[in-house]
Formats: sequence, structure tokens, C-alpha cells
Amino acid sequence: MKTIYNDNKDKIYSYVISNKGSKVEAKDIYQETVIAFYENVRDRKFDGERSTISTYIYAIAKFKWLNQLKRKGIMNEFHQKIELPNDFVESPLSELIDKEQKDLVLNLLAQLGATCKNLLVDSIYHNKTMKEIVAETSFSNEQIARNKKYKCMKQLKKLIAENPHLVKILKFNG
Amino acid sequence: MDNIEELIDRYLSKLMTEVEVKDFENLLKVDKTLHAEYLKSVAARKFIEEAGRLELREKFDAFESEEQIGEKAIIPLWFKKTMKIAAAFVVLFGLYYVVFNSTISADAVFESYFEAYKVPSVERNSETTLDTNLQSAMKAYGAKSYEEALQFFNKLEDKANYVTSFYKGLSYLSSKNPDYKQALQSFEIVLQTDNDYNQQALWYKGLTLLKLKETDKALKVFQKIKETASYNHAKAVEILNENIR
Repeated sequence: MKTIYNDNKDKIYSYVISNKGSKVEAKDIYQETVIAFYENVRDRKFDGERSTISTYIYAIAKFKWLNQLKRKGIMNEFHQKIELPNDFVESPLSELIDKEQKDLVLNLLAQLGATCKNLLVDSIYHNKTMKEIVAETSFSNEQIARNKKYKCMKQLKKLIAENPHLVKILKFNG
Repeated sequence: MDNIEELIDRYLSKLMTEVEVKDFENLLKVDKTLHAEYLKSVAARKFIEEAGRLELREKFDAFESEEQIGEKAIIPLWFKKTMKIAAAFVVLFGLYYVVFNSTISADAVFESYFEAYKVPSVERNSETTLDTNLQSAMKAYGAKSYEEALQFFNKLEDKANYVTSFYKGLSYLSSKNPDYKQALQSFEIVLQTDNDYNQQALWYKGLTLLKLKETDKALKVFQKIKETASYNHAKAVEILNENIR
């Protein structure tokens, strides 16, 4: 992940900056792009057969940046056709939570505790199997890890229910 | 309750058989408690997805910080030890700069700005299988054995592409007996098509032209880099501000 991130950074930064973007925007677009790339690899949408990693990342970044320019009214849809790799799937959740609400998410995660947070993120976001999780953590077997996951989910659902603002965001997106 | 949690989790994790999926979906339609719990689970999963993304962003920020520290850390020890001497040299250079009408040689610009490009993490040929010669070439390039890398790149002939041309050009520039004409040819090949290494090849083409004493052509290349804000454009601006003799 680190190699991929560092290897493609200059090219994407340069593209965004040379197309009316700032360094901060370049960083933001690039990080969003690598996350989208990671999720497409995780979901087996990208297998490296149709394009190289750098071509794929470049295409995603271009798509995201041109979309942002369009939203900002700098570029209209007739200026440039936005092309995406055939095997790219944009996550419907990619802009689920506004950056301003990041603190809200972090607060709730803190209340959830590190064990639950790591277990749920590994299992649900990183799509790790219970076998992998047991190998990487102190859970003695898969069933114990699985039971803990259900307990953590119950706890998380309770915490979300106590945050009406978050309930609203999660219901109205995706 | 744990049974409901398990049932929903298996459904959302796509771990159910077709029959189980049908049964679960039918149950969802009639069991209000299950349906309410299901909606809460969907929301909780959305939340975890976002938490995962935030975690990745934190990781990326750490990469950025490491890179900045790395950039600072690559100053060699001998350089630090000779900082005082260097400071004195700067004073002398300043005098030289004034006396000789602020000029700098093309060779000096090349030496100041040339740096071998990093080796790619994974490279595959058109059949997506790793080519032994390509692997060996990249391995040798990564180990700074540029003469050896060139031997392997030259064996690739039929399988040559913009990636091999790019690294071949860099190997010509970095070898003990640099061949600037061959390097230039290699970068020209990269620039013939639209690919991932265009911007980088343009930068190295500019530097190579400096070594070939084609300063005017080199400056045109750096001007293009500046105008298109492509790879190393800030450095290109610095070079354009130099009075190269």
C-alpha cells in the first residue's frame, strides 16, 4: 500500500495542480482515489489484467477531479468527456460523511473502544475472514471472535441510535 | 438476540446459501423486529465503512509525513560534517557568480538535478506474466547495477515498451560510462505515445539535452514542463531561472 501510494503521488498531484487545483485539493483527491482503488481491489473489481495499477489510479483521479471541477462550476460537461476504467465501480458510500462530521465519527469510535473498532473495521471494511482476524489478534478461536463481533455490532447500533444526527446521515445516504 | 445478529451478519456478509437468502428475505417481510434490527445493521455497516476510510486516510497522512522526514534524512553524514566547508564555498561561489556574470554550466545543472527514478513496484508485460529479463533488469536497476540492467533491457527487444524504454534511458544516464544519445533516443520512444511515464520522460529528456550541450532545446523542454505544470515543474522553473552558459 505504501509503495503504491508513494509511487503514484507525484503524477496525481501534478495533474490536479496543473488543472486549477491546490496542493490541499490534490492531496484530498489523491487519498480518495487510493481508497477507491483499495476498495475495488478488495471487491475484486480490479484484477490488474486490463490496466496497470498506475494507469487505473490515474484514470480514477482524473474522473474524481473533473467531477469536482464540474461541481464547482469550473468545467461544464461538454468540455471534456470523463472516462473511467471499465472495471471501476464508484462506491455509493464514498462521500457518505462530510469532512466536517469526521469528529462525530471519531468520537463514536472512541466510545466503541479499540478492540471493537478494530474487529469491526477488519471484518466489515477490510473484509478479513475470522481465520485471518484470529491469526492477527489475541482471540483464541474464530467462534470467540465472531461472538465478540456480534456484541460489538449491538453496542455500535446502540451508540448510533443515541446520535440522531448520525442516524439521519446514515439513513439518507447509500 | 445474538441469533438475529448472526443471521443479519451472515446475510449482509453474503455468507448465506441461495435457499437461506430466500428464507431470510421472506422473514424480513413479516418480522418487524428483524426488519428494524436489519436497518440498524445496514446503518452500522455504513458507519464502519466510513471508519475504515478514515483509518486509511490516517495511514496515508503518515506516509506523507514519513516521506517528508525521509527527504530530510537522506542528507548524507559526510555532507553534514562538511557544512562549514560548504558554507565557505557558498561565499566563494557567490563571488564567482558575480565575477562571471552569474552563469552556470549545463553540466553543473545536470549534476544538481539528476536523480535516478525509483524502480516500479510491480511490472507486467502484455500477457500479465512477469518476464524474467524484465524482472532481472528492474532488479539490477534497483540495485544500481545499471550496466547489468542495460544488458537485460537489451534482451527484451520484442517485448520492449514505454516502461522498458524509460528505465533503459535512465540506465544509460546512470551507468559508469553514460551514453546520452542512447538515453535521449529511449526517452523519445516513451514520448511517442500517451502513457504513464510521459511527464517523467520529458523531464529526463531536458536533463539529457543539457548533457548533450543542446541547451536551447533543453530550455524549450523545461519551458514546456513549466507551462503544463508537469512532473518536476518547480525544478524546471528553477533551471529556467539559471543563466546557463
